[in-house]
Amino acid sequence: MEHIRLPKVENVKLLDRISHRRRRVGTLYLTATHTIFVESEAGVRNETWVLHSLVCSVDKLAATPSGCPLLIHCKNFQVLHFIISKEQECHDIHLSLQRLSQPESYDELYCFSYKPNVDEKERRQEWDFLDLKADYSRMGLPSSLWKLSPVNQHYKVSDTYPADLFVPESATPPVIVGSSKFRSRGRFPALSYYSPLASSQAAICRSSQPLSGFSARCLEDEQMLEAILRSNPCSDFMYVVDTRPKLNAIANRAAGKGYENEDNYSNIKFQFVGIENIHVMRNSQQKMLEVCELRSPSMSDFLEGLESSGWLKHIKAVLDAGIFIAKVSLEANPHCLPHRCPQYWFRCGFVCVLYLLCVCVKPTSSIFVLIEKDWVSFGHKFSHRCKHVVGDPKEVSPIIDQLLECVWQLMEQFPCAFEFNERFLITIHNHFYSCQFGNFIGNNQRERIELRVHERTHSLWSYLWANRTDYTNPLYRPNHSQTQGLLRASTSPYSFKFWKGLYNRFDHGMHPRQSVEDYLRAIQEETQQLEEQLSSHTQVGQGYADLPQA
Amino acid sequence: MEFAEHIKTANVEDVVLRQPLQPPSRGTLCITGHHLLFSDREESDSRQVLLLLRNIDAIEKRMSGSSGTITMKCKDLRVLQLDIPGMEQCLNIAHSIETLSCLDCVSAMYPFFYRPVDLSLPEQWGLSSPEMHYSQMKELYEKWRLSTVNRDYSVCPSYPPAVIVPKSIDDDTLKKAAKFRQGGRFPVLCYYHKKNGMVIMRSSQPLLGANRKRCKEDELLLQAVIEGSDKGYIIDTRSMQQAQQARMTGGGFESKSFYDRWKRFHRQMERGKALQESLIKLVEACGDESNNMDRWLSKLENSKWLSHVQNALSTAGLLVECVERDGHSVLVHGSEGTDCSLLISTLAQLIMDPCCRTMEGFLGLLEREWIQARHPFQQRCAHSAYSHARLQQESPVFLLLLDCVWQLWRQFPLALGFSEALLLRLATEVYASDYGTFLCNSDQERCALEVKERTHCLFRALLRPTERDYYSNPLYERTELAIWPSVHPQSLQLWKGYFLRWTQQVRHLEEAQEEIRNMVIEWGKLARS
Repeated sequence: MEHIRLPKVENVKLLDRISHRRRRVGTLYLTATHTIFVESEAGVRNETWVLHSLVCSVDKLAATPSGCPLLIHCKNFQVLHFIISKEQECHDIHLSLQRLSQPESYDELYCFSYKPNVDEKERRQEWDFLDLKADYSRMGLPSSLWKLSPVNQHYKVSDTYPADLFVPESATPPVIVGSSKFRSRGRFPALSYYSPLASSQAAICRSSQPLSGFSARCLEDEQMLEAILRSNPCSDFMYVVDTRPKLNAIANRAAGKGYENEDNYSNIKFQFVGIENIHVMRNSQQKMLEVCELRSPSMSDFLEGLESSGWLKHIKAVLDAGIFIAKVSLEANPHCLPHRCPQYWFRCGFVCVLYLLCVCVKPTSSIFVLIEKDWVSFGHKFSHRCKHVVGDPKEVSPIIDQLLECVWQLMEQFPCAFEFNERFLITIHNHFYSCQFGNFIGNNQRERIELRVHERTHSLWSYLWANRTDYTNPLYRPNHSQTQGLLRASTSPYSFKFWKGLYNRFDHGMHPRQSVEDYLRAIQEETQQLEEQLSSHTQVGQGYADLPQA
Repeated sequence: MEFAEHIKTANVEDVVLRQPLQPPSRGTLCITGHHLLFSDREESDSRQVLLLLRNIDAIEKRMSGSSGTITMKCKDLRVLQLDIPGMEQCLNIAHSIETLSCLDCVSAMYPFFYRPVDLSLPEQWGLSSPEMHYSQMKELYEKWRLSTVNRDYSVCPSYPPAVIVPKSIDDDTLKKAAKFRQGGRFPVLCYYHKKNGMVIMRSSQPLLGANRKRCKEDELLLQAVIEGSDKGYIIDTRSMQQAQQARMTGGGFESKSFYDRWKRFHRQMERGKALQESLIKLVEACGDESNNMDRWLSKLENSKWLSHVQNALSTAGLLVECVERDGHSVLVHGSEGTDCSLLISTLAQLIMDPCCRTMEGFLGLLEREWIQARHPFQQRCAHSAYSHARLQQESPVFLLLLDCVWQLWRQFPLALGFSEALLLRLATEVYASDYGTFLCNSDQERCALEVKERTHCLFRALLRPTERDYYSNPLYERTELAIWPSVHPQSLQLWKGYFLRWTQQVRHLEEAQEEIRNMVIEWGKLARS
């Protein structure tokens, strides 16, 4: 509370983003967790609540005769344009919000003060909702080829990896440790996904880039990859998919990092799939958002802006990579696929998730597991990338946005294939940033344990599951042809659309005025009720039929 | 007309047909006066392709050794390829397709020969007539009358014989007013807004010329339209500059001094050649699989097609705003009054009037605005995006309309009684059809060729029960409210169902529509039981 210089300002105007002529007048309140605008028009009590942790930037613009404008940009793409009549008040609000929106320590985050009306027992159960071990056993692990390795207990080998990791049966601890020394942040090749089908024992492993420089080599690392290859008896070679553009990989080699020297590894095919680095992505999204914010752009302004931002180009690159892996692993004879990215945290996650979406994961609960496993437990740097706490602005990057957008692009191409809907993706997006739930706090498992996240916060997954009717796609059919097997998604440029549902989420005027989904959901419920009635009738009827004839 | 002279080779065996989304098949090719027929040899699951030659927009032939390949690019944007053995046969087939696909003689076209067994030639052609339309609109009787001044097409060759005009204006005044309007298209009523009694009128440009002529009768006619109201609006579909330049060639616009109670808006809308070129560029961009993202977005932008969609919808929005929100009558015209004026008056009616949003209402609207009020289909739709022929009067205004309606459907998926499939069907039929509906350039021409007696009417065929089921929107729920479209660039999309209709991706979207239909049918069955 000590950061709030001014808890309440009256006679504040909130401008409509599209047409500045439309404005609402009301009172602005600052609380410890939210900024609240209450419209003061008689009769209606219209409130706008903005969580401080969702605030991305607060800017005070030059004062005008009508007052002092304050512009708030949020991480969920809400933009609020206030006009505060007194400059001093605007100044106070500005400073307060700047501080409130940039927590300096984890303990300030909203999840630690968020206390819904749930008792402790239920709260603990929330965290039991997902069980990654069960997911591994669903994949048939451990098996004769892959084993659970204790090597990273207490995070001794890689402090950003989870404690429980699956590795090839033949990989001994010295090999793993040796290999980890050769890789950035100790992120040695570990299993991410294993196909339980007997016909395709393809595995996907992930790692960080090797510290190979120009000449260095590491015998243990070579043995590690050899072990992975041996763990797939169906195949005599494997792909190493490097998620960087080849040029970047070569440049990194000069800096002592780089990519595996092909001569030292046998039976490996290299594939570069040019996904740009976090800085390129950040700048690209910034440009794209500027286009979204244009007040009344012409069609040409919009399309030119979209093109020059490069955003859809990057989305396409990510999806291309996911589809490449899905195709080689299913279509060509199964291969093992370790893939690897420069630092440890992002592109692998992408590609794993997209691959899996293409191949097998369409029900809602499976995407929870997917995000939990490949992003949360494998250590995506959420607090840096999403700027949960104040830090280096160069570490911020919209990776998570891109992941969700790729899923959305797939959903747009295959309307019957996913059990969840767009609202679900947008809700998850919101909570990646909101810090309301403990799931995405900290950068890795080790940090979350230190912060006692499971003891002090709530879990998003059980919240989403409890509200799953809102997030269900009524067109989803588990037995539909679109749901079966590999999604043969098109990555022709014309298959990609601009996601106004996310980036213009709060511009209600832009969205369809009627929802097919809501309509279908309603008739789906009614159909179910009618079916139940009907079946109870027939049961009654059969009951009579069963009576012995008098 | 003897077709045989153009057919040197009627049958070829052992031809390979390649078409989108299907594996190549081998079979027999047959050319008739109006069709290309291909049937494959597979006995178990025999497939036939019957293609109207009129549908073929351009062909390319490539010879290699003793065989040749003909690539046919159709007006429905399909691309088919035939591998034909024998050089001579291939050349003969190509020659027949080239000649027969673009015959000029209307009475030799297929609609005059189309005689399906389950359909007899109708007693009434079309869904309605101006007379019937007027007689059903009782609210009009007080202030409006049906004039038959044009009964022999002498006052305005492009109008139907009967039109609706203010009651206080007699036929002599109409005749004089017609002389002051290009092509004789004097202002006539095209829509009456029941909620407030305001109307949309449509006409061509006034013929002021360089020395600013005026016409008392025209002024009187327009005055009568806004009798009892303080003002009216004129929406000119040209820019101010274009309208001024038109004076040099004898045209012009209503000047403030003579039409002092009319307020004018200028909204430049692209038409004619520019629109046709826009379509050509867009189709080219959609067909090039090798584009990277930057090239694709740049080509999409460069084609300007979506800008035209945006422009048409926002001009229609302006028209609706004048009538519905502002409560005033509006006159719409550009120069000829046969393209953009029809486009925006049609869209405005769809936005405002729930009666126009049923399937029957929509087809009736198209009939009134495009067939009776005369869009020159013959000229505008002679060729589509692939043709190498020199452009003459081609312009895809009607296609632009369908695209705009599709955008409306995207934004209000429950408000229209018909589905995307109907729009696609119309987009195909307008270029090549079994029916006579889109033949000729005007009502007068249709009468001269006895189109109404000798051909079937598409709109009536579409309303037969089986077809109607197929083309209706299962989610339709009538709403009395105006359906205001958003025209933000973010809200408008490429019409994939049309421009990419021969790709796999569109199949997935169709499957989803199918799924929706099934859900509604299932629910309907249970609800009835």
